[in-house]
Amino acid sequence: MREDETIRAYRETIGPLYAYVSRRVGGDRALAEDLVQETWMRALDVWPRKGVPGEPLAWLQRVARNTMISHFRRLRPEPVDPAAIDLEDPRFSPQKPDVAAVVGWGMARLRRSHAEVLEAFYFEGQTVAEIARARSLTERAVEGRLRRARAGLRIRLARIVGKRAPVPSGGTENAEQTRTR
Amino acid sequence: MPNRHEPDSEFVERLRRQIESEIRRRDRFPDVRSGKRRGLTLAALMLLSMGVGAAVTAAAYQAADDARLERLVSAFEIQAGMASDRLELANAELAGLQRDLELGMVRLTEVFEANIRVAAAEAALETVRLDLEEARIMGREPLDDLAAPLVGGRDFVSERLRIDRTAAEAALRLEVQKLAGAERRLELGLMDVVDIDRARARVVEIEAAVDALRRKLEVRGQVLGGEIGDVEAGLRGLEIETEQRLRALEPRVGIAESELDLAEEALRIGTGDEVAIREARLRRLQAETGLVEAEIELARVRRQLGEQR
Repeated sequence: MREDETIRAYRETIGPLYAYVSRRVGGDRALAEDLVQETWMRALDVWPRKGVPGEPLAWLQRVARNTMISHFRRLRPEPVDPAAIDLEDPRFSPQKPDVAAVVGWGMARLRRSHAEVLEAFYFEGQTVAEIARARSLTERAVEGRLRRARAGLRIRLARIVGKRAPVPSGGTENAEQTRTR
Repeated sequence: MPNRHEPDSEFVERLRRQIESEIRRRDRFPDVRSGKRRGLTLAALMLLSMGVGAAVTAAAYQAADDARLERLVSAFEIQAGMASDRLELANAELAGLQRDLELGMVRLTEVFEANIRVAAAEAALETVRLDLEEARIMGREPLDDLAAPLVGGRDFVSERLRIDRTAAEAALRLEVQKLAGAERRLELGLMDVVDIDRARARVVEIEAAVDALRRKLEVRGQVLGGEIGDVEAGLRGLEIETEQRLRALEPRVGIAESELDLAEEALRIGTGDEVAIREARLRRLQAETGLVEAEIELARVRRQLGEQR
């Protein structure tokens, strides 16, 4: 593995990679640094054999995502105030580390395709149209996937926040409907 | 002062220095895999022995006299010799890997896998010796069905089932250890979740095999005790094998779904292609189809069993 090539990839990606991880852990600096470091150690395991990938940031984000899933799967977070997790609010985004830990714990237990669409919606702030375009899906398909993913997440979060878990607001408008406007 | 999602410069520099020193360390101590040559030898020997296995079957079908028996026994003797060589090689490979492990040149999982190969080679040798013995006594190819008669007062069917069960139990213990190791690697972020699913599927598959062998031994006992007849024993054997297949297939559907997710993700980030997605879809479809086929087969066998009783 060429050292200069790797260091160049590091310098180009460290900012966006850190931001990607940090947003998903609610800005917990120590945890974000540990996860980014772990991601890079894994790159050093693989890149010498396969070479630096064509899209190093995409590769690192994928590995970082797996590393976060592993992290959230092995830890049971402390319960948080259910009011802090309003999945129906289109502006909801886990800003605090304790809320991010609970949401991350739930997302780590979802199907990958469901977790990804929720991540794009809650962590990246993408609209339904943007998510649909990025995944070559129709907006209707994304809305359906978001609805199913949110229902799955709600069930899982109920194990952490108990009966006071956020519940859907029934027939009222939901988050993705609001954000499409 | 960086914003909350921006790395601080001290961390960026510290990690850069760590990466540089890690690259230099790895350049000085590259990963040495000394087991490859032994593995190739073993693979070549296995291919050769598969050819001998075909010769055994061919001999059984083609001959009809003393010459037939001679050829059959001779083929089994060759197969026993090959099985013995395979065991010797597997033991040598294991000893080599254990030495490499002490030097930190291989991972523990590679030693686990070599252990499984030794257990499988031991079982294969014992089984072929039993086959040879039965062929010599009866002058025909050994019988494996659960309703087969005793041979000279000996129950070769149960003996073979017990050997298989012992090997499968050894494999299960090792696969469970491998799974635990894989879970530890997952916690460190060194493994994909789908790899863990595969390891769990392997454990489920071997558990199903161990359970099936245990149940076959029970059925064999019932046959010898005169509790059930030949036809029911045959159907019960089929039921056990189909249930085993069903248990092993169920986790594969989940794995196929995860692989499809990965292929779709790879396409999205520009490292995959449409062909890989279609292949992943095909694997999912095959897994689902296999499951449905096994369910239909099981229902059919159970209906026949109901009619029989």
